[in-house]
Parts: sequence; structure tokens; C-alpha cells
Amino acid sequence: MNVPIAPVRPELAGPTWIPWLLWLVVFFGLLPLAVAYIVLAERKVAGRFQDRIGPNRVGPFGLLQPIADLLKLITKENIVPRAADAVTHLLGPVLLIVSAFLVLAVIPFGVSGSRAEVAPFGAVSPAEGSRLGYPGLAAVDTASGLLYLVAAASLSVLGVFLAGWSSRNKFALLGSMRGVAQLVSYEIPQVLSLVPAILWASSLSLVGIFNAQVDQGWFLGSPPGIVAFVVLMIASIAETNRAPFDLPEAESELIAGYHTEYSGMRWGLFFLAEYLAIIGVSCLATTLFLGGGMLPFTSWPLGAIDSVVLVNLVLVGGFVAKVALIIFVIFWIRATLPRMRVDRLMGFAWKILIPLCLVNIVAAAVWLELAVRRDRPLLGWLVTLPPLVLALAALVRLSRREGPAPVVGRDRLVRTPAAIPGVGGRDPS
Amino acid sequence: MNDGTRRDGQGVFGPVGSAIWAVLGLWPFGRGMIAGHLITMRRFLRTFTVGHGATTRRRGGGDLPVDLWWRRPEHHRGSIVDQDAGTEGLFTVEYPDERLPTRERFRVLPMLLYDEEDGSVRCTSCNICAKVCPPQCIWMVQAKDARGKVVPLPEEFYIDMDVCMNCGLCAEYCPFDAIKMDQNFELSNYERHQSHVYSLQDLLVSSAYYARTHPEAWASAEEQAERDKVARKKEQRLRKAREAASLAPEPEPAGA
Repeated sequence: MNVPIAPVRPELAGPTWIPWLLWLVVFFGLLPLAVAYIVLAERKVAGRFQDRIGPNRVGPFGLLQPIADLLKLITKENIVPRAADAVTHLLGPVLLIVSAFLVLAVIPFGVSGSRAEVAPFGAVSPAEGSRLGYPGLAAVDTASGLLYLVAAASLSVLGVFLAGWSSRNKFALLGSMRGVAQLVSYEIPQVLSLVPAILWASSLSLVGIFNAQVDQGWFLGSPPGIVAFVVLMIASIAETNRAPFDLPEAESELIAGYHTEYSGMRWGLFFLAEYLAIIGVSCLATTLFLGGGMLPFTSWPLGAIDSVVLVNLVLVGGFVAKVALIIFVIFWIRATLPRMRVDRLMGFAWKILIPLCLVNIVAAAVWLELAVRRDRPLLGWLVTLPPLVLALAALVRLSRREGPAPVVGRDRLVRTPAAIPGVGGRDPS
Repeated sequence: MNDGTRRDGQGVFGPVGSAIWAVLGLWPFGRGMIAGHLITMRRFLRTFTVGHGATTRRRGGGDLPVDLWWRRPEHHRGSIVDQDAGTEGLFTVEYPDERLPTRERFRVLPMLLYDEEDGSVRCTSCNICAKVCPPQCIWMVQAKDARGKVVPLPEEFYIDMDVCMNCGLCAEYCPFDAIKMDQNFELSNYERHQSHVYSLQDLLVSSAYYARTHPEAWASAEEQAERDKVARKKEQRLRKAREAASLAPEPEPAGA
């Protein structure tokens, strides 16, 4: 077998159930706790955006609010509508939350060894000329990590649809139909925006991508990288059903969309899944374009400090800071933009994001050839930036060429006698 | 800052915003969206730098960072926070710890006044308020003396506070300035069957209380004149009673 395995250092050797137990603690203890406090943070931040304080009654600064909310959700009655498909009704939130957890399984939060001594996946032997990388601090590191991640993330569509369909409720069904259309549409730009990172790292493994950024610097530092990052963020916000893309749960039209018929902890599962998904996409964007936990313009703790713990203190700290920043930006966007219209939502994905991603892939290939392989980044900027800007401008203009979308009844509103043939005063016949 | 500069994002962040805009302004699409994000960010930041939010020390309740929120006297009567059109930053008034000021014309339930000096109740039980009350929530029983003669005083006086709609018509119509509108709005309790029908002992307040809550009305020429009139009448009656007492051995008790 050619599968390279990280050489286990003696001080890290131990029974295999210990790391698995630790990962279990992280996934089922730390992450739900993080979700609870991200919810609190969102309420606080949204409050500040609206000149309010936000929750501050339960405990100092309102810090015990998530605990109170959790207790409330757990003790609430779970109501399943009589007409609902009971099994599928339960399966919907479970699928969503499974999808959200699975996505996080391949994210490297740091490094599990302080020495670059792991051969990349696919290398026949460690001495094949390909550079050795750091072992990633991920629960699972597979050769096809990104592929797996995309597949796991797209499970959430199924959860949304099952929840909406099984509720036997018009609002839920409408919401889930919208959700499916939106999620399927925005999955395409999301996946296409991952391609530049794959190209530059020549690996689907997220640890491989992290290691490539240790060599090349953040993938954000190039025009195609910036475009891919922005498109990934937009598509990810749409994938997690966040404002301004929260049409599946548009409360002014659809009550609560696909989770209208959920109460108690099942509804809490939807909530948990939504925020886990936000953490997931933020982790993904951080890993792919913001160099994981690396500090900007330097790979400093890596290779300089030999202690795994100290290196991870910097790396995981940086990772968490970047994820927090991205989540804050997501809150900011939610506090600013109103909900999009369905047709514009679809038009934005298909007419702007997807063609832009295709152009961006070509630009990424050019960047790979000029800046990565020949080490001429300035030339890379000069060559890739103008086409991308022009492409974006052209796509926006093209998508607006036909003017605003038709509105039912508008022609009746603006119709004047002169505008109707045969009625206008000047028409002699 | 006029509307035009707000629209294209200039002036939102001062010179920094202008510099950002000098770069972003070249881009033709989505300018409103960019400016919108800058504006919401400005609001967000200003809640930390301006006014109420600039301090971690709350004016009413706990002194952060650790809010020991129990056993705080402020929770019973918080400090008063005033807001106007110029208020910036945080707008939250943390109600039990802080409260908005009650203006003089603010009114909730009617109250019955008695005079501070001699404790005489102004109400003569004339029943006008009960007649004029739109939801008919006032009823009373006129007092009678030992011989069954009607005395201009209320024996019982009730207002059903659940029915009262706080219109203030009783206070408007009262010819003796006996009913005034109270400003106390913290009326909740745990029992609604007995305690929500207010009787005389719930309704009676001293004129000093009224003077404190309604300083302008108390000092107004109109009420001043009314008070003088009442005082004159009282004196008249007192004099009459004294004269009667000096004539007859058994004096009639004065009207109030």
C-alpha cells in the first residue's frame, strides 16, 4: 500500500481511542456549545446593529441566556402534526444536523505534528520530490476531502425537503421547494469556487490545501483567489439559508418555511444545524482561502517551534479568530440587506455567479502558471485582474439588459390613453 | 449631513469613508449595497462610542462586568433616562433599572385628593364623575350623618381599574378638583378579583403628592384660584360655625 501515514512520534503514541474520544468531545461538546454562544453573539451583535443592547438579563452580560434557551427547548412539548409522516418528520432535522456535523469532520483546525514529515496523498514514496507537509489536526483526513465535504453538505437539501414535505403543511412545502431550488442552484457556484484552491494545491485533501498555503501564502492573495473567496462566501450564505438569501424560511411570507411544523427540541435541531452549517462554511472558507490558522504573510510558528501544543496555540487561535470574523461578517450582512426576490436570487446564481466562476477558473489556471510555477506574482496580478473585473462588469450588465423583471399588473398601472393604440387623442383613425 | 452625501457613502465615516469611497466609487455596480453596509457598521460602532453605550457602567442596574442583579435597590426604583431627537447610540432603556421620565400630562388611573393641611377630602360625592365616566367604572355612596342627613362626603368610592380606560374625563368634569389623574403605571399584582376594584383607601392621596407629580398644574393660576376659593369657603363655613357655636350651646360640626 502506498497510502502514507504520519509517523507517530513517541510522545503522541497511545491508544487510538484517546484521540477519538477527544474528537467526540469537540464535536458533541464544544461545537454545540459554540453554537449556543454564536446564537447569543448574533443576538447581541444584531442588537447593536439596531441600537439595542441585546439579551443581558440572564447572568452577567446575558452569558447564561443560551443555557436558559436550551433548557426551555428541551422541556418544551414536541408536537408532530397528525397528518405528518412521523418517521420522515423526525428524519428531516436529523439529516440536516448529520450533514452539518459531517462537513466539519475534514476541517483541519491546526496541525497534529510540528514537523513537515507527511507525504501528500498519491505520492508513491515520501522521497518522490513532492514536498512534505504538516499532518493536519482534522478528525478525518482523506485524499478526497473536498469532494466528501461537498457531498456531505449537499445532504442538507434532502433534510430541508424531507422536513417540508413530511409536515403536510403548505407553508412548509413551499419553503422547502424554494429551499431546494436555492440550495441546488447555489451549490454550483459554491463548488466551482473551490476549484482554484484545488488547482493551486493540486490536492483535494484539506490538509493538502493547508500545506500548499504554508508554501504559497494565503490563497486569498490573488485576484482569482479573492473572487473565489467572495463567491464562496455568497454561495455559502445562500447554502445556509441566511439573510439575504433566507427565502426558504421567509417569515413574512411562509411563517417559518420548512420548519413551520416543528417545535421543541426538533426545532432546536434545525437551529443547531443552521448555526453548525455557518461554522462549517466559515471553517471551509478559512481553510481554503485564509490559510487555516496561519498568520498573514508568514508561516511563523510552523517550523520555528517544535512543540505541537504551542504551535497549535497560535494556529487554532488564528483559525478561531478568522472563523469568528467571517461569522461576524455574516451577521453584518444579515443586519444590512433585505431579503432577495426569488427571481433575482435565481438570476444572481445562474447569470452572474456561475459564469464568473467559470471565468475565474481560467484566471486561476493562468495564475497557477504565472505566479505559482514561474513565481511572477506581479505579472499574475496584471494578467488576471482586468479580465475578472471586466467579466464581472459584463455579467452584471448582461443580467440587467432586459431591465427589471416583469411585475404582474404593472402595465395596467402605467398605461395612459396615449400608450394604448387606438385610444390616444392624437390618433386620427 | 445631507441626503446626497449619505447616499453615496461619503461622510459616513468622515475622511476615512471618503478615502474608501474614492477607491470604491470607481466601481459602477452595487454602490448602494456597499454604502448600506458602511452605514450599518457605523451604527454598530457608534453604540460602543456614543452616549449610553460608551460606558460599561449601566446607569440603573448592575455595574458591569459582573451584574449581581439580585438585592439591588435600583430594581425597585430605577434612575430616570431621558431621550430626545438628539439621542445617539444605544436607545435601550433597561426598564426596571432605568425608566423613561413621566411627563406631567401622563395619566393612568384617577385618584382622589385630600388636603394636606387639614386632611379634608375634596370630593363631595356629587356623582358627576360616575355619570360622565364612559365605561361606567365609578360608583359611590354618599355619606350620611347620625340623623340620616346627607353630608357632602363619600362614604364609599369605587373605581374598577380593570374597566377604567384612563380617559381622564372624571378629572375634567370634577367641579371640586377632587379627582386628578395619577401617574403610577406599575399596577400589576397577583390577585385580580378583589384588589382591582379600588376603594377610598386605595384612591385617596394627599394634595402634596399631587403637587409633586403635577407641579405645573398645581402652580397654574386656574388651580391657584380654585384653591383660594375653596379656602375662602372653608373659612366662611368655619366662621359661621364659630358664630353658631357662640350662639347655640350645641355646635353643628363643620362641613368637612
